[in-house]
Amino acid sequence: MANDFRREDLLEECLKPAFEARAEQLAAELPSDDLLEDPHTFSPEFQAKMAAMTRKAARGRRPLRRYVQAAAMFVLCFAALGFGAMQVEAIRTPILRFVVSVTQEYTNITFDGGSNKELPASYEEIAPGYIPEGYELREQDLSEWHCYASYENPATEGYFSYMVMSTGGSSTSFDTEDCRVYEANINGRKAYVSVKLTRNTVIIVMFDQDFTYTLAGDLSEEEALAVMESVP
Amino acid sequence: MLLGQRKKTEQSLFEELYHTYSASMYRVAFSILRDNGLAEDAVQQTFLKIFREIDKIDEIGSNKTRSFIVILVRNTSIDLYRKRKRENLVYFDDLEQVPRDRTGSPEDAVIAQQSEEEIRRRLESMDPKYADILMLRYYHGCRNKEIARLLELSEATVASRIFQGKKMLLRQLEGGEAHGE
Repeated sequence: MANDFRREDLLEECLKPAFEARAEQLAAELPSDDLLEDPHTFSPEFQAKMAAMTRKAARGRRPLRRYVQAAAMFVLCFAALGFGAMQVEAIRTPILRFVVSVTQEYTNITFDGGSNKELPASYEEIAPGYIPEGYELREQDLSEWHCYASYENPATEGYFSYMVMSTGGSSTSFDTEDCRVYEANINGRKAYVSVKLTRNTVIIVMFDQDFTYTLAGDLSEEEALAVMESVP
Repeated sequence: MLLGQRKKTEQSLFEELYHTYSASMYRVAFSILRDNGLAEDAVQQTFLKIFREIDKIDEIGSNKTRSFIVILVRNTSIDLYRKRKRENLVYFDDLEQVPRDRTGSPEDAVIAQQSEEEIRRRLESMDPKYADILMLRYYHGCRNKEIARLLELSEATVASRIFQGKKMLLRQLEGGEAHGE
């Protein structure tokens, strides 16, 4: 098992110089405009949009997250100071609303409300307690609002991903074409399970007031449910 | 660098990119979309993505910067083409089954011994769906989350394609060694 990961690490090292050549090939597709014989004349509408974008670039990129956080803090402080009679419970239990829209190809869940809570500082606090036999954590990436992890089984070349993100204001879509889809309740959390009929792949989207948990991979339905049931 | 200076640098960099490559980007987009309006939309959307990831741009004229732009404009154009054709927008890609027919386990040295030329050749023939993502990850240093945002894919799809792409390369390299190439 360890050998398979080591071979991949070696491959990754070899990829870097190989990409230099590919970069040169791709770069050839993009000469500078002054070298073009008959460059396109952009429409007035396009030029207006680009002028607006350039003005925005002049103002600089503002990390939207910090503004949202600052605004959220301001609202919370204002609510606490200006509305002293407000019940504390009303602040502690924001209402999560979600809208599910289903098409033939995919299902979309859009969330409104929710707690806008940050993810824990360590992956272990949100990681599933049960991982099917043979699977190993390959990589994980954790930030305040979003976590991504992937698991691989070198013996079977099986693979699944596990994502957690803050529910508030987010939306998730998943494949439902040629799938058996049903609602479930997993340890008090609402979930949608999509089982591909033509292949051994499963997607489970599970959510609560705070976070949305998504598993996607070539696990059996039973294994996938067991993984999600073990989420803290 | 002072904040004010950094903003000016970002702005001037963005403007320089626009004045240097916008028509070339249009040409790439038009070759896919065959429509003036859509090609301009693709260019504009690509600039939006570039604007968000402007810290990935160092030298305007470098192969690295130009290849980054080509990958973005190409994938943005393909995405627009699919939307126009009303093809399925699959937010979570179907995970492809990887055939378990590997005949042996090569020594680590096999991979290290493969020439860069051999790997480059394999990359040339690889479906851009995988090659572009591998390049964004291992050459441009983008994280999965950034790639997903740039190419408007789910993270699961990005991770799946990286996984599949590496597996395909490994199988091809091993297969070449087995046949004495």
